[in-house]
Amino acid sequence: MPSAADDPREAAGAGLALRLRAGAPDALGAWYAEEHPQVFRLCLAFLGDPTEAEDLAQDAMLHLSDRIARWDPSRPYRPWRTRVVLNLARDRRRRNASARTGAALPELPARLPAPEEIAEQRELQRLVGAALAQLPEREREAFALHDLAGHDTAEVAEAMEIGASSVRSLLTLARRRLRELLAPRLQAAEPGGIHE
Amino acid sequence: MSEDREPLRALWDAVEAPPAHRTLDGEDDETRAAVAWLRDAYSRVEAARAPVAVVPQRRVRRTPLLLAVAAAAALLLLARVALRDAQPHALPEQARAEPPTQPAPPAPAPPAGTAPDAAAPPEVQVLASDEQRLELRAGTVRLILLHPQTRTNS
Repeated sequence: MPSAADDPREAAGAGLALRLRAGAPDALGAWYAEEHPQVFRLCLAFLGDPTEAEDLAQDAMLHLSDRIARWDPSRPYRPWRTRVVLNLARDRRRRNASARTGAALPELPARLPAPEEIAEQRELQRLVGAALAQLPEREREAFALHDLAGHDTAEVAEAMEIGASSVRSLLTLARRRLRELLAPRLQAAEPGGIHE
Repeated sequence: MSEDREPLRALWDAVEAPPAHRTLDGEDDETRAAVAWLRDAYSRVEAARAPVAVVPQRRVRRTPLLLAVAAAAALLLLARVALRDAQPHALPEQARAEPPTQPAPPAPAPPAGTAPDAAAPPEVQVLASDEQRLELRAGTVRLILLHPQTRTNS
């Protein structure tokens, strides 16, 4: 795993954030174009629902641009950005908690096609959200931050405000749960695989 | 007991985790396949295309009262202009495109002896109000405000 200094994503994000911070004329559009897809993916991972994720991503981009001056350029940009998005997602989940009480988890199909075979973007988003929604929230956060968004354990620990050992435990639990959930569905997709 | 464990915990927390691409080495094939599927799908997720204008637009907070007051003020101004110009057929684009949802109420009669050009602006009526749109009428002028989010999902 490259260090923050070597990570091209960090370099790109930090560079754009610096320009935004400096108030460069065309900085906002460039920063938004680069960051919005990543922020949306994080929101989808944290909330599990594409529509909620779109809404939160817009709020998050506004929040980030309003508070870009709070980012310390001497520290990596992506972890700061991710922490902000995570906290917003937690706030959103808390606000929606009462409305979600008793709501059924989104369903996954018996067979999961390969991602490149999923033509409809909305369906892809729905499947990713549905898979992650099966995880308890802390496992989902740790898994999304580490295994999907590519943050290292220390960054995940800082974002979630837990110890590194807790991060590793959550990752183990999340991966085990995802194996139980997805493996049969992936096997069903293979020629001669298990059919329910 | 907890004091004995603290140094050990601190030591454990200080241990560097292996890089992410190696952390699945100890996992079985099914786990690696499940994680790989999700990673691949996640990387293919695309956000909705950003608007052409520089974003983010500040979201319109749902303050119907403030919105209604601002819209009513704009509507009154339009109505004044319409009355002054005495061109009842020159309706705004939106009102022309939309058929009236309610029969137009009779305009309030000016007080006796009052000159037409000094008549008070017509009363502002709220024809429709929900989370997505606000529709107002003042005399022959209609104003329809749509929430920026109002759109059909592709």
